[in-house]
Amino acid sequence: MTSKKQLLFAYGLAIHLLLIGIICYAAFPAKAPDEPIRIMYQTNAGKVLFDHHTHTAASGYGATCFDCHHHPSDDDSALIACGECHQAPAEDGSKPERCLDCHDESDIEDTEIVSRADAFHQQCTECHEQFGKGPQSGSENCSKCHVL
Amino acid sequence: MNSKKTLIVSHAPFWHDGSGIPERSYHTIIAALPAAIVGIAFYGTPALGVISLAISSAILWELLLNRAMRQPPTIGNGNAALVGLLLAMVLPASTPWWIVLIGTFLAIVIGMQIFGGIGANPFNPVALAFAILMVSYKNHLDFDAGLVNFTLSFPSSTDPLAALKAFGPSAVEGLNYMDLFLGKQVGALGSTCGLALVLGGLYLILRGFIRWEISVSFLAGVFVTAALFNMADPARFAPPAFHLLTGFTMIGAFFLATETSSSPVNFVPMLIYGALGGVMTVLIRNIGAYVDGVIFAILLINLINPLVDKIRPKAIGKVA
Ligand code: HEC
Ligand code: HEC
Ligand code: HEC
Ligand code: HEC
Ligand code: HEC
Repeated sequence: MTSKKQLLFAYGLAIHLLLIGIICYAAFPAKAPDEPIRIMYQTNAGKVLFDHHTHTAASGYGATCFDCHHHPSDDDSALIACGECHQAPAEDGSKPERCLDCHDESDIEDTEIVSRADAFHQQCTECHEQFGKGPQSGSENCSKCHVL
Repeated sequence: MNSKKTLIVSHAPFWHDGSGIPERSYHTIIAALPAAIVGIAFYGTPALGVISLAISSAILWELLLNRAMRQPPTIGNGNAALVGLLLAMVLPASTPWWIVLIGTFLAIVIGMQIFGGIGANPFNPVALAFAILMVSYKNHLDFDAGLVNFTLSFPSSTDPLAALKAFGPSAVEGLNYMDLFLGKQVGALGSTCGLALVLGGLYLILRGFIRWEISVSFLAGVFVTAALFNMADPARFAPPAFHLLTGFTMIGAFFLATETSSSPVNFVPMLIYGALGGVMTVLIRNIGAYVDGVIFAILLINLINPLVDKIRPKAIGKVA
């Protein structure tokens, strides 16, 4: 049996915390920061966690932005998601929209652009091999990135 | 208790420590708060949002159900608030609001009220709700995937148990046990700080709100099983202290396994119940499919609770 006082306390608790909860969720909506911290890829070969922050931080692996973001070289306009440009080829052979921001369709007609997964596999493992650290190429290393 | 009939005995458990249910609920909430506050310190406003929404929605679900079943409101006893708080503490700080609402619904309505409310639930409502959420919304409850947008100042920015499962003990051997004990690890918002949870647990034990037998035997079960695995193959299985300090071990030992109506009351049954929970936890972690085994281990020992509770002293004067 609970007393009237306890009941009122519970009502008060519910109402105040509901307000706080709503304010917290409304005022700080979960949104991705401009520069990613970590990225989780869900692939059909298992999920891959890429720690963007640790790769770039001086206290981490200290890579510069343009070690990875490469096109156009050494320009801040390259700091966009790789997937904007590296897409599986469209059926009609047209290039990703993004290219047309900077190029004419005719200039880039015969450029081959690899899919995002291929771009990752190539760039990530190349750099790891260069450093002799981190997951490298070879079938015994797939599970160092991919978690089923 | 609400009926006019007298001389009706309510359900087990009948452990009596001289206090009422409201007192027990609010003391348990006080004991759990430090760990939750550590979570708010680490994860900020989103953690506060999850905690507040969970507590308030748990109370409101119970109130709604009281209304629907034409009972006088039971929310005054503080149990709904406690269930809400504990559920929030096992969720990641990134949990979206609708998962919190579903979670408290599962805990309060499916976990407790359907079985007749407080004292009648066969399973720990928090563990039950979390288990259902975990199998239904895997990516939201995956600490690594959920927390990708959080800047964390921890030594490692991946869930230690997930790293152990995927990459083996060598991936986590750099972690410092003191850091883990202080909660500096990726995980749920209120269950990573072992220090705060142990203090809360000790408080509850000293005040007689939970039984030390369950907590201690649970931790011992984890330790001994993990030690055996580790001795058998240190390259595949992490050392026992790592298992004690990661995942839901501490919150499980002090706040989940000890929930009164789903745990036994006699000495030997309590030891069996706790130890089995610890053993199952490590079995699931080391050779099972899930990253953490505590939740399923607790549901399992809840299941055997009525069975082990049969081990009890014979009533005096009872003839065969
Ligand atoms: C180790 C390689 C690497 C380094 C170094 C790196 N990035 Fe990235 N960055 C990535 C990858 C991979 C993605 C994700 C691309 C995708 O998912 O399509 C990304 C995405 C981004 C995005 C786009 C986010 C979005 O979703 O729109 C921004 C902005 C960005 N990086 C900024 C930076 C900045 C600034 C630096 C330097 C401090 C930097 N990056 C250094 C690999 C890197
Ligand atoms: C603005 C468009 C654009 C973005 C963004 C971009 N790339 Fe590229 N990438 C290209 C183009 C165009 C080529 C082919 C021409 C060249 O080699 O420069 C290329 C080539 C590559 C190649 C070499 C493929 C080969 O066949 O040798 C790799 C690897 C690669 N990109 C990885 C990445 C990664 C990783 C990111 C994200 C961090 C990224 N790219 C972002 C446009 C882009
Ligand atoms: C942000 C603007 C921008 C975008 C988007 C962009 N490019 Fe470029 N691209 C450049 C610039 C600037 C150059 C000049 C060379 C350099 O700085 O890399 C260039 C050069 C090239 C070249 C000449 C080869 C070379 O390396 O000299 C090719 C081919 C090319 N881009 C293809 C593409 C394709 C395909 C896409 C879309 C997937 C694309 N670009 C998207 C700015 C862009
Ligand atoms: C510019 C070089 C560079 C590139 C490009 C790079 N890495 Fe790394 N990565 C490193 C270095 C250096 C380490 C150091 C590991 C250590 O210190 O043990 C590392 C470690 C890792 C590790 C293991 C440690 C950890 O952080 O969990 C993973 C996983 C990883 N990288 C994933 C990736 C992925 C995925 C990509 C491509 C999107 C990528 N890396 C691209 C330099 C790079
Ligand atoms: C350096 C880390 C790394 C290593 C090592 C690696 N992968 Fe990946 N892999 C990735 C990332 C990141 C993606 C996500 C690409 C995306 O979503 O676009 C991916 C995607 C894939 C995909 C899905 C491709 C698709 O088109 O969706 C397959 C299949 C795959 N990897 C297979 C492998 C195999 C097989 C190996 C071993 C030979 C391997 N990977 C090694 C990082 C890695």
